[in-house]
Amino acid sequence: MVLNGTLKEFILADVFNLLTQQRITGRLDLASGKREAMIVFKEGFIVGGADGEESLANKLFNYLIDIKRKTSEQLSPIFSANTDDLSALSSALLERNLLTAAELKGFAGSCIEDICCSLLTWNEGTYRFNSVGSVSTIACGVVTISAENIIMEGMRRVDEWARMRDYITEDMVFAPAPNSVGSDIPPGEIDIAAAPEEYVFGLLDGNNTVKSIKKSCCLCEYKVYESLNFLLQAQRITAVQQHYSESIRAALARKEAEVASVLRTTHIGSLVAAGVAAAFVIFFVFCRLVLLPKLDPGTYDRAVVEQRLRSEASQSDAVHGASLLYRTVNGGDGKDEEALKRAGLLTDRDLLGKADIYGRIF
Amino acid sequence: MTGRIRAFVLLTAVAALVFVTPTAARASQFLSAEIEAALSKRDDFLKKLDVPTGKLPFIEQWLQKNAGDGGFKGRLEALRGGSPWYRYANGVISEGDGRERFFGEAVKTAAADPGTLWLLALEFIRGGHTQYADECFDALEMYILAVGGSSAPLLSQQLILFGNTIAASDSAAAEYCYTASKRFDKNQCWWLYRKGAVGFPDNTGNMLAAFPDFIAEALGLLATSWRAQTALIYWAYRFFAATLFIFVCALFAVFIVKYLPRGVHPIGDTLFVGASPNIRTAASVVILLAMLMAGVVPTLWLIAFLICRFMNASEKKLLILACAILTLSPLGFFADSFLSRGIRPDSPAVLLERSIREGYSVGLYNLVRTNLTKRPGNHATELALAICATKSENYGANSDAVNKALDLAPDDPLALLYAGNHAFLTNDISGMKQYYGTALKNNPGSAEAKFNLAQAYANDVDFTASDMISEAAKINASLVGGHMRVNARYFQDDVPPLRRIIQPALTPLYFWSRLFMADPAEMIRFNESKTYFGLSPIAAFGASVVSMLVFLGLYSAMWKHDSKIRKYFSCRICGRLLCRKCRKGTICSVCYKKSIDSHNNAATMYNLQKAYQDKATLRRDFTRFVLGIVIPGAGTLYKGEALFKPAITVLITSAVFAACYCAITFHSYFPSAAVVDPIYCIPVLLLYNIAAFFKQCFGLAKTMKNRAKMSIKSK
Repeated sequence: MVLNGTLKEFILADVFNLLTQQRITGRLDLASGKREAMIVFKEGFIVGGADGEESLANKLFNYLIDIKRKTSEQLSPIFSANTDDLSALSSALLERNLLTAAELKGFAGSCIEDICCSLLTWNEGTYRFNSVGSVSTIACGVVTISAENIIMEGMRRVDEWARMRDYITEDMVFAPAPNSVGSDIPPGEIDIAAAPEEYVFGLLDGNNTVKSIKKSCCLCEYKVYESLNFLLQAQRITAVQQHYSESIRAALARKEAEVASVLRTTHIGSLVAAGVAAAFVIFFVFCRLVLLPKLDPGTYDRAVVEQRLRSEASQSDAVHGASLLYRTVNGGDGKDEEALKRAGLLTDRDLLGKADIYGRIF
Repeated sequence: MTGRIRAFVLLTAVAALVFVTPTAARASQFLSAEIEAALSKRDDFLKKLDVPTGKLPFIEQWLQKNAGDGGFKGRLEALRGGSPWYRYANGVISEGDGRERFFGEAVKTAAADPGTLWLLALEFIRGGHTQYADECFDALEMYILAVGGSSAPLLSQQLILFGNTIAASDSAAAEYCYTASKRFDKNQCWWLYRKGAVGFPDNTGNMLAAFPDFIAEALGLLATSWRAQTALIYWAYRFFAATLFIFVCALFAVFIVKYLPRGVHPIGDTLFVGASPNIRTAASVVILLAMLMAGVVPTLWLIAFLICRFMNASEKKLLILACAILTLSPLGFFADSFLSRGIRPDSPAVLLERSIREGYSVGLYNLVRTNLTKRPGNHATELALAICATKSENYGANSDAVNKALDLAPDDPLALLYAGNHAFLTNDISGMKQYYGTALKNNPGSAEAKFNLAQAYANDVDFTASDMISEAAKINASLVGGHMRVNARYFQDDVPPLRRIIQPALTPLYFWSRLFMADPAEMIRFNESKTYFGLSPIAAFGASVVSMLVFLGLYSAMWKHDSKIRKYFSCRICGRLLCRKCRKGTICSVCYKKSIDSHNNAATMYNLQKAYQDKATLRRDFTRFVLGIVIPGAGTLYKGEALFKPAITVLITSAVFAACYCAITFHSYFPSAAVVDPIYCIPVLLLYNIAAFFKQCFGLAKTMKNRAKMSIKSK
């Protein structure tokens, strides 16, 4: 089955309802401008989802690094080997005891719920559903969420999120408040399902913007905003003052500019480099063909060398002997080199010492 | 020494032997003028018979074809007279006894004209009348001996070439020519080779059977001919020099492939700041390699300077060795000219030998005189002039020249013997006794001096000349016996003056002791006009030494200290060389861009790094594979795990390439058609590379297989 349309005509919640009623299995792809997302349905239930870089695999990787304190060297081979198969990745993580089944289920459920709820905020864009036989590679296989629950939770979050965005923006920088007490829970024991704000609090060092925290942490966007909101309400954190955040913004702008300059100069600079290299080559070829023969014609000028060798060869005993025999047997003057060659009396080596030309110039 | 190296050395020795002998077997102009004159006479005669001389047909066939023509008979009768060609033509158109009579008369009539004898001999060979060709050759040999010569290399060369032209149609006649060619020049072994090659490739067995004889003949020649010995040393030097140069180039090739992208980093930093790292490196390498157009050696110097700091200690030792060879390379001119001067056509030794072995010819006499103006104090050239003058019966000039030679080298055995010969020819008995006596006093084992001295006492009743001749025969039976047998065969009682005495030969011992080291300053004079990258060889050598010193000075000043070397580091993702000037971080701009795209995700970074590592490993394997094929041994050298053994393999490879180079650039004074063309040796030499190609293919396949297995295991 293929279903498609625009979100203006048919909101996402309605699409969810329709697919749930049909108890269908497949993949719902969403697109709005440059953003792309997808939700995985299995028999009418939501079992997976991703919103751009916010995917279960990425968040799981960050979770294992930040919370479970695993090393990237330990994890990278597993994640790279199972890039295209989420259920295989889950199995591999469980097999290697990197996390328990309960932890996986809890984290994956929370992650997919956050991703799907965030998609309900999309007001425009297109959707396209393709039914498939098996979704094992795009779903972790341990999560089953009712679409109704997602719709209800999503609707709740839509209003709240809009309110939070009024005073928490992407480029803001937060730092622990001067009188706040830090978390006494060790990083490995933080329950991010129960207390995500403790985890987010640990990430605030006065340098990272909301955007960078969002990218590098294991929580989804909504949970980051929600945690920041909670911490602000509890006065445990404070926004860095305007002039400080301006300097940070300036630093970020410089970084962006550097990135842009790297990309821009690469193309122009490469062209210039090719041009300069060609100019050098032309210069040296000119030296080789024009200047050096004038400097030392005896060695460099092929024509001079060839003429000299031909002159030497014409006086050589080999040529004289061959010419004499040709006159003896065939008559004529025996001076036609081609005739001598045809008669098998001489070769180019005798006439020119051609090979020696290379030797002398070399 | 392993079997492989021993086989290689043996092959090289045989190749060298084959290469050098043609240089030794040089033809001359002796009898050339006589043949030219005879050709004119023959063409005149044939023209009068209406034979088309512009494109000459086979004369015998043409005469037989026109024998029945009345006009032809009339024209032939009109030419009746003493011309050998008239008798030859009559012999061709006659049958039975008439033919034998006319042919015999033709040879007898031409006895005093070596050129016509020669032309008749060739016509007899073409017509299958080899007994008359033998008669012609006997008469020719007699003429050569009578004028004081012992060989005529020109005739020998002509016979080999003539044999080549008729080998396809008449193999028996060709074999006859090759055998006869030895008669006129015993200092060449190509008659045997050509004889073996008759009918090749249909008759391969014949060639294989002749090959051992050919090698034996060549070795015999090498033992007795100073010219063959000098040529062997000269070509061995050329081979050695080419091997060293190719070895240096091979080392540089490996180091360039391995280190040049790093070495040119400062150029990229200076000229191409805005370019991507790959383009920056490529453009810098192109600029550096473009300098090759201005000269190989200066470019190698610069490359050595740029890359040496990235090498390990063992590689640096090899680089220093290569640089030392480069420094010495301008001196190669001197070594080359020093070794080749003995066998150059205008060298005193060659002129002296030609004057001894050949009869008088105007060309040789003029060449000696011209040479004497260039080398006024050279006793060998004076002696050559004296011998030429003697053979032309110009005893006045002989006397002056031989006295000058004796002034320059009073104890020279050849000069003494030829002074004695001059005294003999001018009936100066006391002079004979003086010069031959001194020669005998200096060298009591000289059979020539004893034999010739005996001639001084021929009319002296107090002494028995025959006793002295017997003593001479005891000293060197083959020389004295051979001389007397030849005299008896050709001259009986009417021995010409120049044959009554033995003409002393130029032996290898005389050459090496008296001529080889003579006049070393000639080497400088000879190289005055030669240039090495626009400089004289000495100036080029000085420049090379200065370059080496500057290179060492700059190296110790700029890059000796570790702190300065540490300015460079590798990108932590792809391993590309970076410096603080081109990047501030620890990753290069390409990886930086990709890491931005990946949002700093560790898994993506890991994949990126792994992809680069895999690509780099593949690139290294492929480079090693290609280097291993092109320069066997260079692949292992590139790997860098061991250096000594691969360096030796590269040296052997260089020797193979040098042998190819020598084969390509080789040319002799003998026409190529008469000798083995060494260019045919190249496929044989390159078998070494073909074996290396298969070895590399197997090696690469094995590496790939092992890697695939490991990859499956890790999954």
